[in-house]
Amino acid sequence: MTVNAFASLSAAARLQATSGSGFGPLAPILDAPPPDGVLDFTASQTFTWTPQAPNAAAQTAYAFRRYASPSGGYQWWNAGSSAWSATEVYNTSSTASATFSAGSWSNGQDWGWSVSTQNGTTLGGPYATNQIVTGAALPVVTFTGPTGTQTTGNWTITWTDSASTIQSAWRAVVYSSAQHGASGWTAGVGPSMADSGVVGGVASSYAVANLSPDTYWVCLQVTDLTGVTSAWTADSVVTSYTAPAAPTVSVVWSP
Amino acid sequence: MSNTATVTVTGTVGQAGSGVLLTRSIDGGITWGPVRAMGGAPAGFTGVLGGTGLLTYIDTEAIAGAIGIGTLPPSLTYAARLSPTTGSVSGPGVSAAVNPIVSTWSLVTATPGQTAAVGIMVMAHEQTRPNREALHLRLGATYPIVVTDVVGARAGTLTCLTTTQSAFNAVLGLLGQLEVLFLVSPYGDILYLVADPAGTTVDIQPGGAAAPYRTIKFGYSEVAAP
Repeated sequence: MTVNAFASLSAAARLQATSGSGFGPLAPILDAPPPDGVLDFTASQTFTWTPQAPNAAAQTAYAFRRYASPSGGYQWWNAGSSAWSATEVYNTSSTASATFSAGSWSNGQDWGWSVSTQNGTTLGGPYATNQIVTGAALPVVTFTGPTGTQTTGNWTITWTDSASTIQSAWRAVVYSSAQHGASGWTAGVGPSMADSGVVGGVASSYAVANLSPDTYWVCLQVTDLTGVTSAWTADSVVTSYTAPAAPTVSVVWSP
Repeated sequence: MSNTATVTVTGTVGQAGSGVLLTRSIDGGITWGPVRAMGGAPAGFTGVLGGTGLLTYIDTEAIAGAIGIGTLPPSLTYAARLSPTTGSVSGPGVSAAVNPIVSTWSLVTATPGQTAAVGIMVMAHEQTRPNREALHLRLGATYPIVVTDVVGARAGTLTCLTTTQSAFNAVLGLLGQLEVLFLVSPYGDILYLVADPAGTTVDIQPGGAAAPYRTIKFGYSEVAAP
């Protein structure tokens, strides 16, 4: 929900805010990760927000704070030293995002985070209401088969899930070379030769049948028990055999 | 057999025993949909080529993809692929298009090849759509509150005229199978229904002992395609 904080200001405060005479911006809107989102902090992650300035003044600096939920003390991100500080730090930047390298946060922890912005004044605006993000390892699915050139149109896809997570659901999609090569192709979207749909359970194989000779692309995705979904894999499987002759087909309509 | 398409898939003698994947298009080959598998077909296939490399498929639901009244498809096309060995699939063989003109009523089972389509004449076709209603009479209120929570399936009665003994026997046979039936009218509307044979009545009409005309009246409920 977006709250128009400007509307709640007094007339005098609005005048001061719109004139830009020393009145800081409003609390930004925190965009990503969403509330109660899950991020894998063993990889680089980006947090984004939307500054809220009644006079449309651009952001000139931001303060990014976090705390270990539920009761840890605040820490502020110092972009210059790429380290966390126990005192408030405003980082000069017009970009409404902060990217953290792997290891800046830790998994296995709920984190509260928020942002305050400046827009040319030395006064920082209020912080947005804290949002919670959970650090957790994403499941990793690894395609294990079939390997080598397939000499029939029937083969079975196999995979393994990362040892640190427990698979609760999976999806396998097979694309032809034409489908895979189409402009704007995205794994899990659009027409395919076979699609298991999201299937609950710990299965690790999916059989496809009656595929013509082609190079197919197998895309896999798994979800673990915490509801976190892996990235898509994309592995090719070459299917090559001499196709039998096509039949002739005739039809007669009986009115 | 009225309102059916007879599809012949021809391979070579050496391809006898191959699985046949048959698809149907009612829009000139733009989109293709599966047809119902024949009895005894291997999983995933429509049927199997016989010893001479032939498969004859009678499609009793050829126009099942038509939507609504008076929207019979302009053309009917079939495509078949063969799978002689497991997972080895041929390219498609595509038939020429035919124009599925419907000029009679027909009543068939959806299962291909099991029951011949029956050409009948429907004399009366009554249909209702009952609701499940509750009536709330509030104290002191002038008008009651009527609540409907379920729209019932369309149901009604069909009165068919048969002019031959074989047609009469065929209709009774269909009613006795307790399967989902597929009704096609010459006006282009199609209906999947389940007949209620318990209430069937038969009247003999004048027409001679050799070919007695009979009217068969039975109740039915509309159902989704099986």
